Amino acid sequence: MDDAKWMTQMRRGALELCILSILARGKRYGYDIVQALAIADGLVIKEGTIYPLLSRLKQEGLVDAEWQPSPQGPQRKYYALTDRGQRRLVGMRAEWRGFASNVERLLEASESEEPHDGS
Amino acid sequence: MEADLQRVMDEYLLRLRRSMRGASADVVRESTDELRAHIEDALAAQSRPDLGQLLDVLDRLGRPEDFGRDMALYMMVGRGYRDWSLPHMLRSTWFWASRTLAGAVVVPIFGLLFAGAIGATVSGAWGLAGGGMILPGGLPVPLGDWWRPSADRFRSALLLMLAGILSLGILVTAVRWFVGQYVRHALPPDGDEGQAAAPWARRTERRILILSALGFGTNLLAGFASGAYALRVVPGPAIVPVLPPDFGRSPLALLAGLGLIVLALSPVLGVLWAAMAEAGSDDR
Repeated sequence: MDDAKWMTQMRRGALELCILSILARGKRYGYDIVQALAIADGLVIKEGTIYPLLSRLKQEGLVDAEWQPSPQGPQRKYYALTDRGQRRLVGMRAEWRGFASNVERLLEASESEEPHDGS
Repeated sequence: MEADLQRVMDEYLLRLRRSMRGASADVVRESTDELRAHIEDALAAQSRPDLGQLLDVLDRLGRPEDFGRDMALYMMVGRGYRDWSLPHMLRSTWFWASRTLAGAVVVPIFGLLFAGAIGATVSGAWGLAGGGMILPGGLPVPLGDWWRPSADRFRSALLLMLAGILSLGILVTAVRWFVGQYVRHALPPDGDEGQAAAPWARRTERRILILSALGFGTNLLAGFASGAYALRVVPGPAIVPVLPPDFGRSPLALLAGLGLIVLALSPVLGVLWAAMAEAGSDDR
């Protein structure tokens, strides 16, 4: 597997968790979510691709969507976490932290055992 | 917004609408409005938006062809199968059938098989055969004595129709589950992998097409070779099952039935084939 495909799968796994996490702080619209995701460099390469993901999350009942008037212009579609989405987020957070911790521990152990130059 | 900027944005949104060809009008309108709002919000963040900045916004959004279809499909499936909207359920089935090769195989084949089986059975072209039932393809299914045709043909047909309605409900539920699972798991990954997703989709659809052609051809050839399918010119049904006494033990009957199963399961098998091929290439 090349690096690009691996990173693709990494992003895919993390993006849903990140979006649910953002929505846990309050309802957001699409561009707002993209701006919030910009904190994590490289998480979103093409912004348009979050929209199918948001549609899928809505289809799974994890988020609700509602059009609301905006003071700055056209109506915006706001996404909010449902109770089911909140439960999913709690579970995913716990899984992610355990997973990340285990991977980090493994990496540290393998790095400490790597032969160093000159040894 | 300046005329040039408006024109470029309208062209982008037109490409988005084209990528959603076949979706219901409300889904297309909502998706277009959402992307328009995104673009206008992104431009509003600039002090003096110009054409270069708009092109930058559109570049960051990505090609609408890479995400438009998936966006519409999830919305359609969500409205059809989560909100129990019958119009959306029917429309999403049509959208899936018209926009993906897998859907174009599954939906007509399921529909034709089912409608054809019901029609052929009720009309008498395919009927009960001594304790069993003949499925399209000539494969007999022994069901025991209680399925023997009674002297009252209407009651037999009525029972078959009732069984048909029940099986239609089961079939719709199974197809609905399959559509949901397919959309959830079999589509190319969400995200920025437009270049990787398109070849994957083409390879998978080619595999599904190969399997469905293989299954259909096998069923047809084995059915005719075994004599299960016999053409009758006139009068009466065009294709009438003619079963030799030991048909159930005939290898050709099993082959015809196997072809039918491969045809019906070709989308699932095609995706599995693609997954195994991907796993194999990853291991090398």
